[in-house]
Amino acid sequence: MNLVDADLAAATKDGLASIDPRIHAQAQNVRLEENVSGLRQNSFETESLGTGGPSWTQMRRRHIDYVRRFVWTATEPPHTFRLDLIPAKAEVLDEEQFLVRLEKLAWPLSRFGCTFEDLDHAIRDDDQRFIDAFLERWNEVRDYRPMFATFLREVASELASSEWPELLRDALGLAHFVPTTGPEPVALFKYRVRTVLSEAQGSIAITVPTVLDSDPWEHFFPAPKGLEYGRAMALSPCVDDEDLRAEVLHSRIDYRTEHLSRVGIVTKSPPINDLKYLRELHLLALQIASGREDFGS
Amino acid sequence: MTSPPTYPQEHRHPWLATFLQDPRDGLASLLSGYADIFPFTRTDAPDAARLIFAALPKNDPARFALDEAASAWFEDTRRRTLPAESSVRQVRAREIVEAFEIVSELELVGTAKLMREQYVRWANWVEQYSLTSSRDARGAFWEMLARTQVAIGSSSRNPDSLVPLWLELCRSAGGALPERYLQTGILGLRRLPAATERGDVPWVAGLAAWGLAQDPTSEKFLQYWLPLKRLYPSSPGTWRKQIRNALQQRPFREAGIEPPAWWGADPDFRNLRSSPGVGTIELPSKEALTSLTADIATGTKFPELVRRLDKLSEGHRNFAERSGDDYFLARTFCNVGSALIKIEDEEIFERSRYAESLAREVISYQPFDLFAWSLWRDTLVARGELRSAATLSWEMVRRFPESQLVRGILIDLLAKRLGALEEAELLARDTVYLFPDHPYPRPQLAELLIGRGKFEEVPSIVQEALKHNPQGATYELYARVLDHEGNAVGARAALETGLALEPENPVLRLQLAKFENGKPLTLVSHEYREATAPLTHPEDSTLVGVLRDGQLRQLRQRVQVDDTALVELRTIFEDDPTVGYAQLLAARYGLWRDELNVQPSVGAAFEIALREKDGASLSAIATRRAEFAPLVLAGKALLGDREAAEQLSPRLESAHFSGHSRATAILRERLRPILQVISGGGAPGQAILDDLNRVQQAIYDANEALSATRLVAA
Repeated sequence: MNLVDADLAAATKDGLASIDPRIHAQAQNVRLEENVSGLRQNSFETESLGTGGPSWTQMRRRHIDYVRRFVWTATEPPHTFRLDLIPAKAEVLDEEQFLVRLEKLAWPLSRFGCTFEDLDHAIRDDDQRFIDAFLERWNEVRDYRPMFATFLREVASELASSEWPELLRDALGLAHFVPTTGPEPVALFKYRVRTVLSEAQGSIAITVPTVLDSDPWEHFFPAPKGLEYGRAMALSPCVDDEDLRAEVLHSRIDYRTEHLSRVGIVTKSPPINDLKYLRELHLLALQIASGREDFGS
Repeated sequence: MTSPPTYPQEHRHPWLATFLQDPRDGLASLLSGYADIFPFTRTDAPDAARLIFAALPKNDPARFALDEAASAWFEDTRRRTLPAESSVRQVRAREIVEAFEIVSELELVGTAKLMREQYVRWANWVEQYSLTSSRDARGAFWEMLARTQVAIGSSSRNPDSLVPLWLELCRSAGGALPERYLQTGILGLRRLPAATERGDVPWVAGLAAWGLAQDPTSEKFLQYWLPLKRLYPSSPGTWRKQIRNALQQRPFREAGIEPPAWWGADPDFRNLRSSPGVGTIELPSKEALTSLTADIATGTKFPELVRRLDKLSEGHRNFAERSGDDYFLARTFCNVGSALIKIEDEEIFERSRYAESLAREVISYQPFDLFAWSLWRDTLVARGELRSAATLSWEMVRRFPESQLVRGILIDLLAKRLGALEEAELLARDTVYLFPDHPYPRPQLAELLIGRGKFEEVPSIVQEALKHNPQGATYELYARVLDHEGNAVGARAALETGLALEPENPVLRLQLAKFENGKPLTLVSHEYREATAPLTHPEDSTLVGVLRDGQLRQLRQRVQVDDTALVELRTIFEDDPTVGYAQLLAARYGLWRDELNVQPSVGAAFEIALREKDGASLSAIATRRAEFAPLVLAGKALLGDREAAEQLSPRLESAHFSGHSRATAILRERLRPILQVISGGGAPGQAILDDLNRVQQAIYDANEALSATRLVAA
């Protein structure tokens, strides 16, 4: 993304020059992004709030403000899917295929007033009313923010393991799924592409994730233009481009009982790897996968 | 969760050091997303706060700092104007919602207690940030109150004091409030500390209260009931007892509801029937109450009574929680409270304090219980807090605009105890105008004027009083007036006429005897003097909140005669534009300023529409809040809409009209003179146009009463 606003352009340079690998990574994401349309970029540059300025800190704040105002929306569709901003549409052919998504459960459990065991037993007993009530309570407070997901086939091997919560977290780059206070309960949601499309009622509902669709995040890596989907950056080194997992963003759906595939707990911390090394390998894999050796150079 | 945990037990996030340098700024940056809290930069603020703070020991300085920072953050945010730009407004709403979630999740007791103590203030403010179900500050506020009850419980005299709020949410969910609030009301009842301690399940009563108020379908009822049943494993017998307990209470019996009612859709309860005496929750015995009130009346020392008083109160609280029926609690607390303040002795301070707490508890259940409000006022009078009592009475004038008695007692309090004669006279004149057919306002005004030495108007006021309500006391007053004017014959005739009406009236007999003995009648029955009662500053935040509204009501009275009142009102409104009552008055008197960016409350929106003669906006309000429907009709009639006047008239004429009773009752009482014209054959539209000022005052008063917060304190 070549930013026009002088402050933002200078701030990105400032970030790229940082010796802090996390800041560098966040700035690099801005620089490498190719899937944001000119209209959306303009919207970001002109509508993001905060004091202008050439430092990365100011850029980061503007980015965060933009996401909170125009992506994590509660009353209007997020910029991610707005037709007038030309979304980065993902090519999804078969509507019957399944998407999967990992969610943290601590907060919805607390809000519903039940424990992980209560929910787990209800799922085992196939108590649909209980799960319905639990999900309805959760759905009420979920806003329109885009949902990250991957295709079921991409993570089938991880899901076959008893340690699927951690394996899935690591494969999808969910570095924030950390059990600091105790085991972190998680839920796996599984639903068809058709479900997403039908809830979106005709507008573009599945896109390639871009840097503007979430807060600055060093474990995100933009996909080069031309790839049909995004590619999640795993928490372990990607030694082969075939290890890249597709990731997409889709518009909000209501969670329903039939979507709640299973629940589990994350008990182990994510692997600790050098961020710079992770990103270099990921970039290399992307270049191979897209056939674009110039990407990121 | 059987796998051995491998997470670090002593994890302390490095950001905590930054946070402790400036906790307020730290919390603000956490909520805005700016905080450098990798890897939790990717999680929502409440989850991040949980992951960073929850592992810390309970006595870690960072936890205390977070609690203080949260209180300060809310205070700062409350003072910020409502963002005009909708995308920014929804960001602010999100931050507020998340801040409440942090308070809940980390049990920040200091902040939660502050919000409970200042319930009205915060409840008013969160209203304007209730944008959608995912940006619902009001819902998050109530949820925070529900989820912090257990943490606050041990330090509270009445840990289950929020029961009235939860029951009200249950009753209103799907009616005045969105149905999602049923879960909040139920959660509040599930988290009552004392009830949980006893093994009670008061949420069954909440569910029953919802059933009674909203009459859900079987399927809808099961949607809520079955998941809860799963969370509370009990034998069918235990459930049957609980359900029967809930359904055999007075409100259900009166509504003809028989067990199993809505529970009939659950196969476990299909055959549940009423069973008198079986499983009925018991009220404290009548004997206990009778002997207690007898001992109070005979002067038993207060310390000897306290244990029995506590036991009786506790028994009624338990009954109300488990049954959802607050009728007996309200009546008993008012009776006991009144008995406690009857004897004026050296213990009156303690006894009045206790009685005050009873009165306030009744008000928390029944916000418009006139007896309880009167008891609260009387407890303040009993211990000499006269100014507070007067200001509280002004709030009563607002809440009970149909009551002449509330005004009459306030006039006496102002004139006879506080020496606030001008204020008393202004109110007395207003009362005469508003209650033209009532027997007391004119004589009270006349006595007040006599006492102030303003005799000139008195004869005509008394004559008018006799014309409307010939009665002994007024003839006695008339006799004094005539005698003062030198008309002894007329005075004697007045006394005789009074005695003909009321032969046993002792005052008339005494005055006649005095007259016959050749002694002149004393004109002044009470010496009024300008005096100033000592000013007290209550520290109780609930009382402070109520008094603030009372002061606004008093200010409103002054607006009619004193230009400085408007200046004061503007200052109060601009200082805190989220105060509901100040908003309403500001809207009425044209002080509303769009640049303050405040979302008007329904009451204020009504005033704006009325002031701008905007019939369409008035109609929209009636759609939004059904209880405003009669008021909207009256407002339209005031604007000359004859059709609205035609629709309004039969509602007010029929005392049995069931819809929206509060507004209807107020308007009916206050528009009585107009209704008399209509029942005499006058056209409703014309009758209203002929007495516009009366209609306007009635609408103002009804709007103010309807807009008064239901829950005074939490």
